[in-house]
This record gives sequence, C-alpha cells and structure tokens, in this order.
Amino acid sequence: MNIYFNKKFAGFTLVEMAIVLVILGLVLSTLLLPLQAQRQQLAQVQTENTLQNVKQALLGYAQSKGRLPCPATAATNGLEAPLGGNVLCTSQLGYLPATTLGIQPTDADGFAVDAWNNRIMYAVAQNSTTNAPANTATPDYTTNNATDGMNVVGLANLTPELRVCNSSTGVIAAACSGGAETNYLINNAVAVIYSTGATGAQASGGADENLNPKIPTNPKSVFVSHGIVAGSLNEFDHLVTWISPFVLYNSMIQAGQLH
Amino acid sequence: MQKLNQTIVKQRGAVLILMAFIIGLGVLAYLLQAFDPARIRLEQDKKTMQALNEAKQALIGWAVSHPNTPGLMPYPDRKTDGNYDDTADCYASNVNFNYIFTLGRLPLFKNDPNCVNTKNNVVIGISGDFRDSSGERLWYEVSKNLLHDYKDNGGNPNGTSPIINPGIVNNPAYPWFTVRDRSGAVISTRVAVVIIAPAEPVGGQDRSGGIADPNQYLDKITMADNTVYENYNYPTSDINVKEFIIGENLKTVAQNDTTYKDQSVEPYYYNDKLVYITIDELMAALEKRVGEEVRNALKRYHDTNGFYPYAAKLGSAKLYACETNNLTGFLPVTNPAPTNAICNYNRAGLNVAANCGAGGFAEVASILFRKTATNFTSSSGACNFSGRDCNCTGAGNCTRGVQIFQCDANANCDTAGTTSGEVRFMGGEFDATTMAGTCNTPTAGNTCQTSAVDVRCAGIGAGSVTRNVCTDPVLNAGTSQMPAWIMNNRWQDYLYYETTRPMVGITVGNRAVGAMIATTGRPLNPPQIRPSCARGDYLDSARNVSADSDYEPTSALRNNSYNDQTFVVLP
Repeated sequence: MNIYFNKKFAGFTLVEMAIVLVILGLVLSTLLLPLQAQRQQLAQVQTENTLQNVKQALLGYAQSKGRLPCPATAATNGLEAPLGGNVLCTSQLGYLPATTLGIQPTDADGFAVDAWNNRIMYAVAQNSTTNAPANTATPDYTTNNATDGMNVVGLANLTPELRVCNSSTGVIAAACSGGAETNYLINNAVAVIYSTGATGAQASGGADENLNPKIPTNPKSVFVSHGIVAGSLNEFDHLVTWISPFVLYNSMIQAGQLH
Repeated sequence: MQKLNQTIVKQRGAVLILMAFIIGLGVLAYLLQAFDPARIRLEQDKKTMQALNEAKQALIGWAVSHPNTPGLMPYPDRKTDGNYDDTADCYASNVNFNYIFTLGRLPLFKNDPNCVNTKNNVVIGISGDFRDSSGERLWYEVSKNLLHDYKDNGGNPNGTSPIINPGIVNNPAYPWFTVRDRSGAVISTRVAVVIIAPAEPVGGQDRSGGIADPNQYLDKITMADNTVYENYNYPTSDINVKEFIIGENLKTVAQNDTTYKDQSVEPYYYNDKLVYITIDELMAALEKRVGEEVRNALKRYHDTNGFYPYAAKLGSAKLYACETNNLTGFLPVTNPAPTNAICNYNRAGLNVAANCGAGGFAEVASILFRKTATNFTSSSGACNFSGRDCNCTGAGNCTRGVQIFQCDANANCDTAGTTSGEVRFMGGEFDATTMAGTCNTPTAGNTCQTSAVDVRCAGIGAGSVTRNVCTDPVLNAGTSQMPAWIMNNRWQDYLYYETTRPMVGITVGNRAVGAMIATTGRPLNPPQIRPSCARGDYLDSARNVSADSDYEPTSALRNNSYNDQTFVVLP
C-alpha cells in the first residue's frame, strides 16, 4: 500500500496544481479579454457594414422610386409608414423600413437590426418647398407624384433640414446651435441612419445619446455623432451615418429621377 | 496491484501540461493573427479607400448639383487663410487668383463669406465627415479650369465663373493634372480633381500646432532618375502641368527597389492614398444633369402646348431659333425668338448693293463681298479683306485704288468705282426655300450655316433671301424656362434634338418616343468639326448618325469612340 506515498509515482502536489491553475487562468484571461474586445470590434465592423449597405439601399430606392421611403413604425413590421409616401411620414424618426428596402438581417418583426440585435433607426427629411410650379405641400423627399416631389420641386428648391451635431451642447429644437450654427457635422442631411451600439438595450448613456432616440419620434431632425466614449456619465457608443444631399441628388440625376 | 501501479505511473499530469501548452499555442496564434501588421494595414487601407471614394462621390455630387454653374468645384480649406476650419476658403474681389488657393483640405462643412457674398457658390460644404484610417482629414487639389475667379476684373464685383461644357475637355484654358503610378508611368493626363489621404506622418513630418504646411501631410517620391513627384505642390504657372504620383506605402517597398532613388541616399517616405476625378468622369455626370434639365423643360412645354417645338438648324452659330417644319438639329433655346428678316441684293451694271433690312447686321454674322477679279489691297473699320474677299461685320470698307466695297452701321452696303462681284450673306440661318432671284445658292435643303454653304447672290438683277419666324411658342420661357446656366455655359452647342409632329417615328433603343435629345459630348476622333451641319460631327455611332430617327438606347455605354448620351422625352 505504501506505493501511494511513493514520491516516484506521485501526481502534482496541491501547490503545483495551484500554480498550474493560476498560469492557466492568466493565459485564459489574456485570451478572453482580447476575444471580448475582438467580438465588440467585429460587431462594430459588422454594424458599420450594415449601415453602409443601408445607405446604398436607400440611394438605390431613390434612384428607382424618385423619393426616399418613410421610416417604419412599431406597427408596420418593416414597411414604410404610410405605404407609398406622398404624405407626411407617420414619424420623421422611426425604424429602418427593412422590408420595403429588402435589407437583411432583420428581427422577427421584420425590422433591420445591428450586430447587437437592436433595431436600426432611420430619419428622413420632411421639408416641403411650396414656391415651385404646381407644387403642393407634401414633403419633397418622400413624395413622387404629378404635383409634388423632388423632381417637381427641382434641384434648386430642395432644402433638407436634418442635422448631425458633434455634441449635444448648445443644441436647440431644429439646429445644432442658436445663431450662426457651428457645431455640426452636417446641416443638410437628407437621411440619418444609426445603430444604438453595444449598449443599445440598456438605458441611455447621457445627453448625447439622448438626442438619438431608440423609438420612433416625430418630429425629430437633430442628432449627435462622435467617437465612442466609455464611462457612465456621458457614455456614447452610437454609430451614426447620414446621406449627403449631393450624393443623393447626383445618384438621382444619373438615374433620370431629378432635374 | 501491479495494474494499479501502472495506471498511477501513467497519470503524471502530462495531459494537463499538454493542455496548457496547446492553450498557450492557441493564444499565441490568436495574438499573432490579431496583431498581424499586414492584416491591420489591409483593414486600414480599406477604410481609407472607402473614405476617399465617398468623398469623391460627394464632390462630384456637389459639383453636378451646383445651382449656378454645374461643374464648378469648391475652393479647398487652405492653410494660408490662417487656419484649417473645414471651410472652403475663397478670396476677396480685390485679390488676384493664386495657385496656392487650389490645394488644401477638403472643405467639408461650409464656405467662407467671400464664397457666399458673390452668390456664385452654394453656402454649404460637401457635407461629410471624411477621414482616413489614421483620423486625418482628406486633402484636395482642384484644377483652375473648375474654379470661380473672385477677382473683380473691371466692373464685375461677382468675379467670373469658367464656362464649363464639353468644350473644356479637349481645349482647357489651363492644363489638366497628370497622375502617375508607382513606377512613374502615366495613368491619366485629364485629371481635374485629386483627393489625397495623408495617413500618419512619415519622414519627419511635423503636424503639431494644427496649421502645418501641405508638405507635412502629403508626400513626395524621388525616382531612380532623380525625377521628383510632389503631391503637396500646386501648379507654378498657367501652363505648368501639375503631376501627382500614386506611390506604394513605404512599408511594402524593399530597400533595394531600384524604381526609386537609392534609399541609402534618400530614404523612401510615402504613405499617401489618392483618388482622382477625370474631366471625362465629371462631364459624363454633368451631361446627365443637363439632359434632365432640358428633358424637364421639354415635358413642361408639351404639357402647355400639346406638342414639342420645331428644332433649330444644326450648325447654328447665331440664333438657335426654331425653324418651321425642321424636326432635327439643335434645341431652339433663343429667347426672345428672332423676328422675320430679309436680306436683299441687286446688281445694276457693274455696281452691287446689299442690305439686310431694318435688322441690319443683327440678322447675319457678316456680309461678304467677293470681287470678280483682282484682289483688294486695304480695308478699314469693321471690314477685313483677304484676296478678293471683303468681309464686313459693321461699318467699314475694303478698297483697291478707286474700287471700293463699303457698308454703313446698318448693313447698307454697296460698291463704287466700277467694282463688280457677288455677295454672300453669312450666318443668317435663312430658309433655303425662300431664296429668290439672283440669290440662288445653296440649293434647297442645304441650309446649314457654315461658311461653305451660306447664301450666295450673284449676277445681274435683284435677289433676296428670307428668314421667317417660327410660330411655335418660345421654349426657353414661362414654365418651360431652363436654368440660365445652360445658355451661359453654351450647352446649346452640345445638345442634339429631334421631334415629330404627329408624334410617331422616333425610337431610342427600342422605345417609340415623341421627342429625344442627346448630349453630344466633346468632339471625338476622327476629327469632328463644329459648328457643322453634318450630324456625324456631333453624334458618334452609325445608329445615331443615320437619318432614320433611330437612336442608341439611353443605357448605351460610353467608350473612346462613343460619348453621346441619349434621353427620352415623353409627354
């Protein structure tokens, strides 16, 4: 029986096991920490790609339909609201109308989602110019009929109103700041698309994130975008992109949808 | 017991050690993969190229949708105004243009007051937060051909915009840029705009302080033959050709690469990324805008009148007025429409007289008198002589001794001193069917107003030729008025138009249409000479040139021998 106490045949001692486990723990933690960061990075890249695809889909939609789609609402299951545009959109900021655009991936209700399975938000310009010939008062950017729409109004009369500010400081109802507007990244966007980021399912992180709602809001024309800021007070991890009016106009001109 | 002993001997923790080893290997492989420099650089390059291409699209869009002068480009955000503030930096009307104004950062957000005050620029920048993978703003250099000159050159406080139409492709006022590849070979000599991502500082570049010179951002390459290409410079004169180089990142250039100067003498420092816009690219996009504007005007015209206007004669150099029953040619853009006109000729004995009624010289480009024999020897006023010809555009005369051909300011012309010859009414866009009496050349149907076929009156007796007003309502007015920039930039010289009454008989692709237009683009080789009355001097493919009213589809692709763009106009 003394074979069990013979050092020659013994396994690890408790101390050796502890050392091995500590080393294994260290190794695993160095593996898992970057892995977590890598997963976040991958999710971010994936969402950025999705947003890029969304922009292309919106431009393609405008090229074929002569207008942008209205945002979807909670009740429309990925379809623009109202269908067919041509009147004021139900909500200026809403969910991306993924079914209307044919965008993937979507959640079970047909809404486009980011890599964290949160719905992608979409706002569209609702300004209306009424001084063009035969023009009526429906929103120029989401209308295309005989009496109104971008092609009826004409390039020279279009005035998109969406803003993306570089911070929430000084933001007023319809502009990034009062007086001479300065702190904007764009003050004439035709569409703003954003993901609410990794913490999208949690409560809003602060003043900057508060300006990018997670639910349909009407009217809503001012948003915030800047790099990711960690922390609890003014945390910001939204991924915001937008469509420049010039890119939209040129796309539509090339497709014969705008003069 | 022996068996138990053997089992215990076997279990000495080797598997645990092996597991730790495998996990360690896994971590190492993962770390190597995660921090693989080549992969990271690839990701960075992808991000930078994406930003460059988005900026390029935004810039083309900005230029194409410009409200006053489509094709015009914004001024860069340059250092020399004191800051980099993402604002297009124009200059005051008492400042001369300087090529230093053509290079700077891409003006993202707005224009400075000098741009706005002249009303020749839109009030916003190109609208996009474009940065390369290192977080740097993009840089931008633009050809003077596409920039507004803010200098008040005598009574014009708004300065002068360039005329931007396909004519500037072949004959620019200033040379287009040249872009070369990593080995110095030419990629394009027709570059209008270059957008450059500067990436991280290399070779001692110092960007501290936020207001560094362009050479602290952009790079240069010295080739093996000592030729230097500097992306950070601008043209030195109106005839200097600015050359850019798309080099290779310094991290992938070997020390012994003989394409470049010996790196032990001059280290290779280059990490710019560059995209460019050729004038052909820009013009193709602009022609779409022009076509859409004209198409919209024609549709509105049809909505109001129920028909499309008759065409102006192809080759028009003067009036661009519609001609009754003429279905093909230029777009009739003149507003107001010209009035009726008649030019008269008479020869009694050896003396010749000619006039163009109350309109005088306004009805023609010139009145040309050709002596029967012997050359003129002098001229004065608005007349010029060449051999036996005396060409008058206003009051003046040509003489040979006592022989004289003279015109007053109202185009009342005659000869004296037994000066016999014939008269040609040039550029009056007359209808050949109205020629009468001794005005009998060219023959009916050949009415194109180029120098070879203008109306010729010769011989004893009276003759005349008439231009009758087309009774169609004016196209370029009311609800069908086109933007002023179309005529200001002379796009009417690059627009071919055909219609039918009643509306049958024209096909574009496989569509039957009531009217069509085509932008004709720059003249191609074999040499297309314009103005001309020959369709082939404007349109390119055999299908377009043939007179069967059948045209290429709107989707026909451009290539080196085809740059027409057809548009369908429907009611």
